[in-house]
Amino acid sequence: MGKEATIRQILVITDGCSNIGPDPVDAARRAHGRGIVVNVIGIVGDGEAAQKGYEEAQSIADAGGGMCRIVQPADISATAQMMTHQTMQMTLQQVVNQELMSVMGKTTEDLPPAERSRVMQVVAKLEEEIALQLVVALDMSASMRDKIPTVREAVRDLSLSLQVRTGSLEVAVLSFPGKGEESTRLVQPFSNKVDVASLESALVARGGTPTGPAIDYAASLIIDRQRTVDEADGPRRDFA
Amino acid sequence: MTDKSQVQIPSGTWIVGKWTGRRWRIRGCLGVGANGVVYAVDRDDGLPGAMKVCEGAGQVAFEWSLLERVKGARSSFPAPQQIDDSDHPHAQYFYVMERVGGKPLDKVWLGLRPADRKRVLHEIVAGLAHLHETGYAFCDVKAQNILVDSSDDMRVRFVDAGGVTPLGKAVRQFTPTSDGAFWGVCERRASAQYDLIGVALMALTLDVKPPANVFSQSQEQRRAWLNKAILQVAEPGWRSLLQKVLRGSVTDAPTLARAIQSIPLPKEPDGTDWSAKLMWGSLASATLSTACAWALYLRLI
Ligand SMILES: Nc1ncnc2c1ncn2[C@@H]1O[C@H](COP(=O)(O)OP(=O)(O)OP(=O)(O)O)[C@@H](O)[C@H]1O
Repeated sequence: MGKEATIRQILVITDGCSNIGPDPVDAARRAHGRGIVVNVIGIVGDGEAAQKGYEEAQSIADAGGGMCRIVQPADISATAQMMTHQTMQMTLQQVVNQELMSVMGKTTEDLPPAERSRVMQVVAKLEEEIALQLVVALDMSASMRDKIPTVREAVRDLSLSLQVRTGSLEVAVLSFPGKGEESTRLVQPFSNKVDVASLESALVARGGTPTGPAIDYAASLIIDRQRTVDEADGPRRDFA
Repeated sequence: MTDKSQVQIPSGTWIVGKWTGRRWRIRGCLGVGANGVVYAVDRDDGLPGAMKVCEGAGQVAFEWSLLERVKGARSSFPAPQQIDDSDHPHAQYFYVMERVGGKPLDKVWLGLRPADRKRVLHEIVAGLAHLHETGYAFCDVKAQNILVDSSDDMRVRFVDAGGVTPLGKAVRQFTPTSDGAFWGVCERRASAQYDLIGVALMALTLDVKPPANVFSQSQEQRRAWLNKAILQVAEPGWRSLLQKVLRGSVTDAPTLARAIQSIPLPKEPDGTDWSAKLMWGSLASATLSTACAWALYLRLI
């Protein structure tokens, strides 16, 4: 595996069920088919609607090959960073497993535990060094209004974790719904860190929850980005 | 990920290792964390241990590799004993380490006298100094990860090596309230300084609880809270040391250990406290008996 390798992820932070546009589970499946992992953080609510939201969040993550956690607003920050770390590790472990399989016909679990430790050290090193492309998709439906400061700080905090890695970081932020009739809005294009000022001004809660369109848009951002980079530097190797 | 509802293995169960052929008997549960469950165990030859069980083989192997890296006679971490698999459905992947005594710092802090607190903080920093010499930082410094044995001269041990990171690399596991980056005072990169700031933040937040809305505050607001909280620290020696650490002017553990050592203890805290209490007590009972005498005299009671 060379330095060109990139991990691509979408992180959806939402407090409810999608109610506009295509099915978010299908969107997540499409994204995963393009080599992107979709993680979901659901913010706890109450009542039947919340329960439906949790189930949808879990289905999105399952279809997107990622993780799902339902948390209190105060835990969004720690959860976002834990999930990104664990799913990067998972992706790399899968790659290493495939490599082991093709070289020795064994999975990590087939190895004696002491050798597994060495494999995991390699995984940890790769995780630190691999490039990461991340799109954070923020639910800005009306019910999110009082959670905006917490979500904003959590996204900034996630960026603090990711930008000190050795590997390069490209992070973009979008919100859903967008302005007027738009179902999504690009808050920040790909950059090597989160621009807090743009978050402060752009995050306004209003309207419904177009989660499906947001995942499709996030995936298209990553795929378009990949295309422009490929044209510049030749093909890359990607993991999913 | 594991939650508290995870089925636990009953005491008395024997866990048989597939690779080592060793057997361990479960004695009870020592704790449940975000990454797994830790059981008190006795090995077939009687060696006591602590068995950490995680859901994934990878997590077990990774934590084991960290324990292996930081082990040594002077290490504050539990010594690694064995890593193995078993057929038990709730202990498929596990490792066994030294079982360490003591209680988590957050449980004992309030009951510690100033001299004990000084000793505990000194021990923590001395443990970090040794760890940093080996090229690693602890990173997940938090009171729950520090066990203090009051029956053994306040001996301090670290548990949960899961956050241990080579110096200079990105921190993967941390607790917001003792994370300098969260408070806007440093980067989230493994370094001696990152750990020392963690200790200062931990010590401060053990005494002064952060506001409930800290997660929705901006970094400027968080820093402002820190500055105010430091002013609430009564001892001038501690106050100025915490300020220095959080400002980033103490960058290595041995320097901080020496600085802690040289902080004077408050004068005869116990003696004065006790006699003062006695004095107030006798004054109160004197007032009370006088009041009773008057009440009796006036036939109020
Ligand atoms: N070697 C040990 N000896 C005695 N007790 C231990 C030992 N290791 C862990 N414990 C106890 O078990 C608890 C959980 O262990 P640990 O912190 O390793 O789990 P974790 O899943 O990594 O938790 P965390 O949520 O802190 O990440 C600890 O808080 C401690 O009280």
